[in-house]
Amino acid sequence: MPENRLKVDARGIACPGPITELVKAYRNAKNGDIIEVMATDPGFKPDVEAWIKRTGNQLLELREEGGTYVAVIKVTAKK
Amino acid sequence: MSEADLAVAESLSRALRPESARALAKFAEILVKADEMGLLDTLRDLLDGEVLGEGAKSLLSTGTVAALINLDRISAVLEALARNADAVAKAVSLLGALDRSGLLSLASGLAEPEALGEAARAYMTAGTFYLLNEAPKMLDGLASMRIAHALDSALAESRKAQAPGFLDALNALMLDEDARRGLYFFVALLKSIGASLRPK
Amino acid sequence: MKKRVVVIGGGAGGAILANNLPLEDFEVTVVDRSPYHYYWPWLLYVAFRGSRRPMRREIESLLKPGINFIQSGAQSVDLNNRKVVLEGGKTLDYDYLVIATGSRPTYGQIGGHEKAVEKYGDYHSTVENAERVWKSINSLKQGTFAVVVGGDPYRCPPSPLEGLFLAEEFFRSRGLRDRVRVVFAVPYPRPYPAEPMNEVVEPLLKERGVEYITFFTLDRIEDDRKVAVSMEGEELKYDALVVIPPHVGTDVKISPEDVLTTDRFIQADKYTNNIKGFDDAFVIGDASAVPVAKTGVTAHLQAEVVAKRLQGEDARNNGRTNCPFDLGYGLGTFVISDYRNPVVKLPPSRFSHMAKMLFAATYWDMVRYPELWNPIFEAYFDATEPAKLARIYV
Repeated sequence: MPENRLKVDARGIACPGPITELVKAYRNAKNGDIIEVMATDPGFKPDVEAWIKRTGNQLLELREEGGTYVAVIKVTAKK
Repeated sequence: MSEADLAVAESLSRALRPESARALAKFAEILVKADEMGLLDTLRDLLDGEVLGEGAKSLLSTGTVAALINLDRISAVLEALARNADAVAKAVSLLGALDRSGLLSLASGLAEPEALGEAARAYMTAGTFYLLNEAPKMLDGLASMRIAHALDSALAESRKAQAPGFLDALNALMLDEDARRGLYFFVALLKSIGASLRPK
Repeated sequence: MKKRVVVIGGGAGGAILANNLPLEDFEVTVVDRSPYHYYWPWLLYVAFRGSRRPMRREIESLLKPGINFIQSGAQSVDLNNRKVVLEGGKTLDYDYLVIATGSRPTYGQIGGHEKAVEKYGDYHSTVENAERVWKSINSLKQGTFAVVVGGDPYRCPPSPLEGLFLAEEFFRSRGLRDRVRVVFAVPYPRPYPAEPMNEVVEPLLKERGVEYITFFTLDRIEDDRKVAVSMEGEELKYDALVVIPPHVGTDVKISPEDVLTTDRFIQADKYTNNIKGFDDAFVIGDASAVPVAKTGVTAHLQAEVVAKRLQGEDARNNGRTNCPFDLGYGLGTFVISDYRNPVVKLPPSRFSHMAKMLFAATYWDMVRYPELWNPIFEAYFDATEPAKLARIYV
């Protein structure tokens, strides 16, 4: 199966927070898929890093452009 | 009909003179208006037992109970009123008096969405919200300091005929452990308030 | 000529929107499959307090006289040709359309989910399921009671923790707290996803001895072994569990289809609620894909904005949330934030809990009488702007 690229725009979410959008995309993804999340909440960066560390998925890129964080994640840890 | 009921009916018929009937009609008008606005529905919904119970649970703290003790007196008055059937007549003639004083028209004017909106705008501020959230905590704090008792004894001490000399006052502060503790409470309080006043 | 407005859905968003339109200028038709409007937040109290207080009213009784109500599901919406086809086959033409169909739990994403709900219940779907939760906690005399967030999105971000707090209070009040373990599992890095609110609730969880597992993305429930299994293979043992079901959007067929996300939420402008590409169609409340919490207050505020826009005013959403949060033992807080400000760290108070209860009691009147309540709410929202509160609650 070809890999999917799922784009998630979580800019402006303060409550419940952009991490919930990442979790939602992750549920629907399969190993090999790429998830790209955009967020403006400053708590997003440490959250993504912690999430990667604990779930064992792969962080391809985490950059900041003019107040927007963009995280590119490769799903690899699903059993 | 019991004797008490008869007494009520009698005083009602005495009270229902034309002018009080007019007041009653005006009062009914206010009720109709309040109903159209949804105020009566709201009141009815608020009088739901479950809500009252929950509300009471939230409101009752040691401090609030202490503050509410005075209500005993009010309920005693209400009880006395209830024993007297003439009270009904008084209530109705009060309506008449209210009407004559223009208060009923005022109430009728106030029962407008715009007026209530203005009131909400005037009194609903970030400060009100803060006070509503923190009031039970503050009352509990006051109660734990037995603030009423403190006021009583401080007033009694300070109203003595002879004002204490400067050295006496200083002595009390230096030598009395409780006075030092009280002073330190104010220092700590001032410190926190000062921190909040720091320019950002 | 009056403008014809069709509103699909008679819940919080739909009913409030309809009641906010002047009937001199608009011919308003509300369409709903159900004759009832539900106050969904009350499911929490059915599930964890055994409340039997009625939580629904007839939609017609909540709409102002003069608004048309059709009890029928909408089958399809054709945004390009401005047509709504009802389940009976009847077609409604409109000048403006507002979709307010809400969101609903889905049970196909998690293995064994449906069976678990049949057995233990949940409190995001129906009164019957909430009553099952009440039975479950009443029959659990020892072992582990687990609340697991099954996936996003779901209605009311505080609700998983509210259930947990009330369950803990329940077991303690029955004298069972030393025999019943209360466990919470979430896919997030912390119990409450938004950090500032987490700083308010996490100490309470610790204080009350509630255990929690983070980064737990639920994959399946194996009820024969009594374990919930995460996507990375981590296992959580339970004796009774309640799963917060992930929700999906509308079941109405909508063309063009590209306004829908994969989980059937409708994409819209987050400031105006215009459905992507259409200036005469709106989506409000849970049914929309805009980045705000799925909660009644959002639906309410968006309904007011859309009602104003239909009357020609350039009103805009600020993304405000104001979610009452029951913390158990008569305490509560509110989750207050907007598009530009993070969640306020509002500490637990008895007032917040009481406000939640008073709101629940007067909810119907707020829907029915906007003339009275709009200015009061406006004053409240103004007084409690997150930017203002952030200066008090640092």
